[in-house]
Amino acid sequence: MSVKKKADLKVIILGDYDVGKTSLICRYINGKFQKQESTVGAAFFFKPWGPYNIAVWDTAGDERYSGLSHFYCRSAGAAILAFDLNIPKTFESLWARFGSILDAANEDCLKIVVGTKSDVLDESTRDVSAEEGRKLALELNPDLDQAYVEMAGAPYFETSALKDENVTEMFEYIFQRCLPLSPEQHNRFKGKKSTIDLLEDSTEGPNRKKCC
Amino acid sequence: MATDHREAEQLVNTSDSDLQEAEFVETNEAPGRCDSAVFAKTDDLDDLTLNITNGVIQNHRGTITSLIRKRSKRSNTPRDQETDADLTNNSNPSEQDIANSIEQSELSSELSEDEDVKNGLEDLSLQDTESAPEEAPSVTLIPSASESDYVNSLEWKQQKKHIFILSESGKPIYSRHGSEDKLVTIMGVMQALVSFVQDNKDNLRSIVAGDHTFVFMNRDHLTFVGITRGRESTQQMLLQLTYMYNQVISVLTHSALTRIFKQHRNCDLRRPLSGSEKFFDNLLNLMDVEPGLLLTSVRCLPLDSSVRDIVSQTIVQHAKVKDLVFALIIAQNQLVALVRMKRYYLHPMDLHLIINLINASESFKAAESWTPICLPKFDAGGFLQAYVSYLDEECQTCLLLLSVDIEAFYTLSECCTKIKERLNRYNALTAISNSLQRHSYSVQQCSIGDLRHFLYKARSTAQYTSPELGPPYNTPDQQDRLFGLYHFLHDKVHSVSRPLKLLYHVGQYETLLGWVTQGFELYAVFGPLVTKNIAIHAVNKLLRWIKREEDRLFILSSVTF
Repeated sequence: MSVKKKADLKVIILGDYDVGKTSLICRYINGKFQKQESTVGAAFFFKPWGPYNIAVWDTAGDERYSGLSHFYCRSAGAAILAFDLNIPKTFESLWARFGSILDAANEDCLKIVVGTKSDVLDESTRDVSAEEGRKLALELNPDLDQAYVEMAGAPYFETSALKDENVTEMFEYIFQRCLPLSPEQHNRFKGKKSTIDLLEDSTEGPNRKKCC
Repeated sequence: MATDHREAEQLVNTSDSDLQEAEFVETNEAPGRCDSAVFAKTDDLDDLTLNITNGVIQNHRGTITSLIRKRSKRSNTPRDQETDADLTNNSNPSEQDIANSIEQSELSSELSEDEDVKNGLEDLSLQDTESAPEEAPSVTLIPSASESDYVNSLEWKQQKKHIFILSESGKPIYSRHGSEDKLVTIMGVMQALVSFVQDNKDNLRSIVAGDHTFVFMNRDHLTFVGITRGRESTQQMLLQLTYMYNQVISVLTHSALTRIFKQHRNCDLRRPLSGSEKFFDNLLNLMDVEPGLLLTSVRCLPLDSSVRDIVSQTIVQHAKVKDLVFALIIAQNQLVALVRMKRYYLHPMDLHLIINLINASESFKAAESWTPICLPKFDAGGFLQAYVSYLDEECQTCLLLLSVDIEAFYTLSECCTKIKERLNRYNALTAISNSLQRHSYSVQQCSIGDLRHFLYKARSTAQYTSPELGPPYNTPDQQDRLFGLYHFLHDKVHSVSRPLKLLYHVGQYETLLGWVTQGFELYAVFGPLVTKNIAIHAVNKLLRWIKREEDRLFILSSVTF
């Protein structure tokens, strides 16, 4: 632990106040949902993914912290642009507020548009259509080629941190795109779960000893 | 109840002339004294008031800029210079953004409407005359009253202390109780009162109406209003309002605040402040229970000096990083260790803001954080960057590293890992958590009969110590009353018109002794039947006890990088 692990990919999450950025991150990192307080400044998470180390910056949505944005955007490999599916204004902010902030990120930075709180979304009164979301996602990523989009889908997800819907899928999409695994690596790491199920029959018992 | 009590009290002696001074150990050796100050020397209340009337913070202006300039001189590589430029401007674009994005919106209710003013005045006068606080419970039980009903309810009017922040144009910014949205009218009245007096080239300072004291403070286009029916004096309320002002600065910086109002005189400051309400609320709650804010001094976690040395040496060794100004460890609102850059001091008022930051926010417990914070006494013009991380699983011991370099996060994160490792190796974290579990010390440990509680402040180090609250002060009501007694005693001793060295006061339920010297301030609470002689003996004994324990109770050596 004494030598700082080097991060292979820096992921940041942006979005208006109270759209559920921290809940999304915590759902992925800790695997559970809990009520979050508003984030102060920016919080840093570290997560291994396969052979790689992922650094995740969870940021505060309050405008008064925008002075920090240069710092965490610099050399970001992927940016999650989160908005609340139930509040159209938060979707508009993605363009208006965060588009320019991302200039500091890597040139090939992958931008993922993510709608949150899909569990409380009422389809009949819905203001931001999935089509609009997908459109924005493609506009933000001009260098994403057509073939890739057809294969993997557009970088647009509708998630629920509460019900754990599409959260892991969204992160997997990022990592598959930014840190493609070789087939060999894929076999080694893909099957392994990031959390250990104590009730599950331990089939990889002998392997576990190697863990240091 | 409170009034009865106050009347029943009888001032037996308010000056030291009748007392045989010889009986007091007149020492220069005030326990907890230290020549190399750990903190910036604390302001006396008088200094503070002077500061308030001047209306501007003058000390340490531009400290951060000078630190940054020093840095750019030191390193001449192009890359660094680039980041330097980045940093000097760093706060500017953001503040600009904030200021620009603030829409000019009209005050929803016009002040000039007589109707509203009249209503507001009625509200105010109602508040003055209500005099049966004990009847409240029946009202407090109505839970689902809407916000607008709430601010008209008896419960709202009977709150013990109200704090309001409004802009010069009368726009609500903050209210401690009830949503400030619903208080437009009453805030309009407050602003009307303030401007009416200002028209005559004068300043409205306070109004006393029955049980209530209304205190007004104008600073940087903001009006702070404090209304209390507790025992706080006008001076003490001003100090509390100053803390509130400092909290505003801590979020925005003084430069941003002035710029915002320069651009839009009637802007809605709630937007740039959004998300920081919890800091204001928490600060006010702290002020109600934490004597350190009243005494502008800091409580240290009782710790063997050997352990404390290990902690501060660990910080010095592992956090010797460029541009790191302050490194501190805080555990449950108490200071464990502080290491500072040479020539720079941390003011206790700034430290209270830091403690408030940690105390008010759960979000630091989840992960390492990086956040800007402005320390008004250190430099009101700019932000320091704070690295915040808890060192233990239980999230009790918190490490803060304050730097002027916005890029320093990863370096500081490494420092934190090393510090944690070494503190664990020397069992220092266990020692800290043991000390936390022991809850400070009980007054019985001083083995002085009749002494119920005390506050002792070492003036040169701006630190204070006090035992935990035991019976009869084990209920919130009684604690509140005790805190009121301390406010009373503190006010009498520090009275602007007649400051006292010594006050012996016999009340209905307890006898109080306040004693202020060059080196310390002591506020002691005895049982009601204690005689003057016994009290004097007791405090002498107490001073000897504190002297014996000073290594444990105070941080006596100031450690620098």
